[in-house]
Amino acid sequence: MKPVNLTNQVEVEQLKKVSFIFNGKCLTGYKGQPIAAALFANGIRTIRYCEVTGEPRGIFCGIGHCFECRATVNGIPSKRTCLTLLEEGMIVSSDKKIGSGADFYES
Amino acid sequence: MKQKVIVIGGGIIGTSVAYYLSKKDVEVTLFEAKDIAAGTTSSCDRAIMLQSKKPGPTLELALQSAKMYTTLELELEADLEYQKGGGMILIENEHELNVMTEMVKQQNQAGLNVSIINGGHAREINPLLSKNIIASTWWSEDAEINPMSTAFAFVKAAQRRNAKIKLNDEVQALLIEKNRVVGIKANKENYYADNIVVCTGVWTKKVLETIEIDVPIIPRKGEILVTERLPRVLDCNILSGSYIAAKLQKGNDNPYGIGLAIGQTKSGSLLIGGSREFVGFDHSTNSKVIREIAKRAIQVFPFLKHVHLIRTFSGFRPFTPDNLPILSEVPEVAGLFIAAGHEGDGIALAPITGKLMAEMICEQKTDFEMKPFSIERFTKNNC
Amino acid sequence: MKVDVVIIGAGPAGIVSSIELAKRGLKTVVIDEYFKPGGRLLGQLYEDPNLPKENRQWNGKVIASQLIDEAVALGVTFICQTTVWKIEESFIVYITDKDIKEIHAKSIILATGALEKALPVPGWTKVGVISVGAAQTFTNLHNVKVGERILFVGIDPLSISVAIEMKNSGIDVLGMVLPTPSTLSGFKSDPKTILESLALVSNLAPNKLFRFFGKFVKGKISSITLSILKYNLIKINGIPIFLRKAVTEINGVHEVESVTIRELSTKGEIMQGKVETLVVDTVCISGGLLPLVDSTQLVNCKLVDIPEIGGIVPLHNKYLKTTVNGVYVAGNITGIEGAKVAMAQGKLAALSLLNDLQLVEQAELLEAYDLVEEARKASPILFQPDIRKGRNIMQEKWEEYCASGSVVS
Repeated sequence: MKPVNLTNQVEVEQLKKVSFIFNGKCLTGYKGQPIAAALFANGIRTIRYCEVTGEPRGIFCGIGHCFECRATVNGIPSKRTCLTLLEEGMIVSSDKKIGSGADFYES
Repeated sequence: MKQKVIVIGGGIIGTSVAYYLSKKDVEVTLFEAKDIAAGTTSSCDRAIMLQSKKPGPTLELALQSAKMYTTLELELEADLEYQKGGGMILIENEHELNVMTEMVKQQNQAGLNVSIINGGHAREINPLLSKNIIASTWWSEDAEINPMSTAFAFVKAAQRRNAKIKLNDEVQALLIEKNRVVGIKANKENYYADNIVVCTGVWTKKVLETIEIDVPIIPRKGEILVTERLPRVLDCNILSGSYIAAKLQKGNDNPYGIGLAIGQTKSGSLLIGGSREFVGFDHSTNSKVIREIAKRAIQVFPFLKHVHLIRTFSGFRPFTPDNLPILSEVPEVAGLFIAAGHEGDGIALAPITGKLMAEMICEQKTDFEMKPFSIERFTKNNC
Repeated sequence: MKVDVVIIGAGPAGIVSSIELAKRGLKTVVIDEYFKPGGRLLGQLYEDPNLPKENRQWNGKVIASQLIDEAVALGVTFICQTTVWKIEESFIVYITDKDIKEIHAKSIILATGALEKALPVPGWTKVGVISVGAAQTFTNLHNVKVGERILFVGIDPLSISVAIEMKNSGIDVLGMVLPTPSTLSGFKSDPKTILESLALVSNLAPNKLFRFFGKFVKGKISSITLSILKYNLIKINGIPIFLRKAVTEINGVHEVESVTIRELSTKGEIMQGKVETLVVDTVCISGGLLPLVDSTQLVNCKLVDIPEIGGIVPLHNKYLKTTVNGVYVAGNITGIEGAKVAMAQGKLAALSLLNDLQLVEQAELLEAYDLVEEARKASPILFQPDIRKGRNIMQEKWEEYCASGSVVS
């Protein structure tokens, strides 16, 4: 999915391209866009798995209210990807169904 | 005619008393001003921890109560989220080590098989513990329970035995005739009974003031932090050594009485307590207390640094001056009983309290020496 | 950090408040959870027929940036990506910022806006089901496509304008249908009520046909309204609006693959018979807005429930003063209205605060009040048809409150 052609397209083009990793895959996006927007632009919509049921989840409200889009960003769990801005070299991974504690908080 | 008993208060103590009474040949009615578990029972943690208790009458009750909890789910036919995951009191320095070594010695003498383990062993039990933990106590028999589920289960089981439950029905007065309680007034109506049991926790003073009986139970506020849902990171209950000090009111360098107590709910949230303050019925939470509790929690579990808190709440524990509950008949008023003042031990002591009160009310005798829990220990001193 | 005023929420109301306060020399901080100020203005992009022809486009992003520039030039501080987690008395505002932990302020303006109502259609938690606000934000602000084939569930002024925006940006908008009738969705599945509410947005729609229907509906000729409903299909800007169809289930294994659609009677009941399956990859849900009042509970403002203005809101007087001394409200936290009303309210709250500090004359306050009324009259969209009635109920409740003796000085 490509960025949409809108009147305020200009702003996007001024942005700097950066690369980041999502669940082990190297992707590109624009510095300063929300991680969730970069994932959308890469055709990725499943951001997390429900901690109880393991069902896939993605963006719902898009402005930080619903907490559906949480992911682990640079080792910090439960970051809202709709509010967290992309930076070069970020490592993002899906928060998953609750397993044992040790799997999650190593180091 | 059947003996009629009115229980006032729908917390874990009142519902337990109502349940154990319903097992006797007694007509039970429970009056609750709000709803089941609406007070302290829904604003506390979930530990049934014996090793935090000083050897003495409370510990003896608690041992019996803990035994009752092991079969309570079967008996009440309900899921109480009972889990026997053990318990640890974390030791962060030499001073705490000395204090806890002494306490464990006493507990061993009282029949509690608590041991002291080194930091490495503690981290084997829970790998997420900080490297700064130098030692810990460990007892595999400590357990936990969902207090609200338990109160509701007591109610349902009592109802199955024909107990009546009246909610949103605040008792306005106790009816006294010739030094004997004969009933209560609620919602402008009189209800008559042979016995009344007051199980109103922190509100007991208010209830009994109306008949000029002074009960020295005062509210001691505790604040608890709730985290987002987490993976299973805790199978046991965790206290800090400073918790024990705060509980016993030692040291003035801790104005909010902060001592760490951590447990994990079935849904995955951590309940992180707590504080102990005498501030009347002020329900507000204090940013300084919240920060301090959070800071200490991160000290023992560094991973908590990145965990979100989703809310904080406060609850009132019914404090008595000698840290023992009042489980007693009121000598001046025949037929009137009190089961209140458990402070932080209400969850642990609920089953045994219900059982003993039912025995006192129906048979006037119990397997336990009840004198330490008598109201007279306060009234006599006053004379 | 010590300031005169903390404003919570950097949307149209909060920013305008900050400008008015800074103009009179008050040190003002605006806090917002989002990564940049602007609030819902940032996603707004539509034509307003009430504006002069050459200047009809309402580009919220541009308006926001002009306002922010003005505020910053006046010395207003914006703290973004920050949550207020506690407010203690008179006033210490605790925030999640790394460096600034607490802000001491003499007054507070709560301008936290609104929250989208959930509309739980079976399957609504699947990946690819997004709220109308998210659709707007990702399309207009972040400029990314949220999907290729979209169906809207929930037909209201906001969802229609977002559908038009999405279609304009090249997304295949398959149409708009109603949610499954249920106690949870309430009136939302009653085609007649929906049609009547659409009249409120008919001025916005360039489509002649729709304007025509709008007229009839405005006249409240219910028999004609019902006959319109027989047609089942209206188009706005080429987007089919199905007033007699409802989504009963959203299907898909991992992400949205299709929706199940059934017909509704004119009364909004599910009809037996034909079941359609429509292949879509995205479902956009619009359940309406609720005032976001959480922050009022940090300062113990009294709340009242007035459905006509959008639900539970903090009790306030006509000058946006709450029941707590030194705490004011502005924008959607006071009831659901458009950005222009929010901006006018932002000014009014600021002047109310300034008037209490005797920094402005009463006349200026009254003038600001009139501006809110004017903005309300000029609104292109009425989100709550009975908003004026609701505002009157609020005033009555305020007077009752004052008469009860719990007066705010």
